[in-house]
Amino acid sequence: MDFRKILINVFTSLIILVRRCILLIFYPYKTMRNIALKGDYYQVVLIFLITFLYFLFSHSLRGVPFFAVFAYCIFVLLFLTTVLFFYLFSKPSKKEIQIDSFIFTFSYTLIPTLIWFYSNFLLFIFLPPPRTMSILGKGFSIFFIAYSISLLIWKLILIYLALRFSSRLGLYRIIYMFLIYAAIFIPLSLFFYYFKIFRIPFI
Amino acid sequence: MKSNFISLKNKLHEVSIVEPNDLGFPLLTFFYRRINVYFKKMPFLFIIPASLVSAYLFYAIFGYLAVRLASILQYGF
Repeated sequence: MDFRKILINVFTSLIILVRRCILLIFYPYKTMRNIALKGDYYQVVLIFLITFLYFLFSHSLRGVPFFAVFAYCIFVLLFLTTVLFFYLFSKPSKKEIQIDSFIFTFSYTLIPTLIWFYSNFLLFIFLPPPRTMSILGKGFSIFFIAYSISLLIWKLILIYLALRFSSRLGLYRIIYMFLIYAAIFIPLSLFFYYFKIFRIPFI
Repeated sequence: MKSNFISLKNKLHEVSIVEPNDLGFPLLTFFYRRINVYFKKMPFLFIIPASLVSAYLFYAIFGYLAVRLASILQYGF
């Protein structure tokens, strides 16, 4: 494959990525179903590239740019473990499922995370914390918490849809899988917090 | 005509990749389907008011802790 063809594929995937990100806001169900069936690895690479840039920017702002690569490697490891966990749990029930579908859909569930972390990064520069008890401080705090909650709900919807279309399982089984995953992931997040790798888990 | 048939076939395949959810009890399944509609299409019409109300309630109940939480979240980038 020559360089020109790769470049065309990257640009095409970038356009599809932007289109799907917008559609995930308005039609999450239909879009996630489409992603599960017609994903491609260029889009996954682009999402991971945007994630890497975030790690680079945020760690540069903290004054430890070299730590970005380490934190990014942990994030990639965590992502792959998550995908493998859900794939291996779903495989015995549905033989026809494929790991590719999990990778495509789960990489798109990173979109709300990326929006939150990028916006938080920008807010840290333009409106640095701590917040005060003034009217503006309180107003901003309410707005910021509402913004965070709305992105969290969107993220949970996308995770549910990703699991639904990748694993093709029913609601109960998805909830069981998710509870087992949370039982492992919450102590792991505390471990990362304790060792100052992630303050808020990036997943 | 043939291409229309193929696209219809593909669409039907796409729509039927997952079985409809059955929660075991007809009433539960009925409520699940009624609620599910709000999350399938334009979920932010429901999410934004719900998150604004819950954020305000959080502030009304916990007061200063809500402001502290916003600061902690801001340091979490």
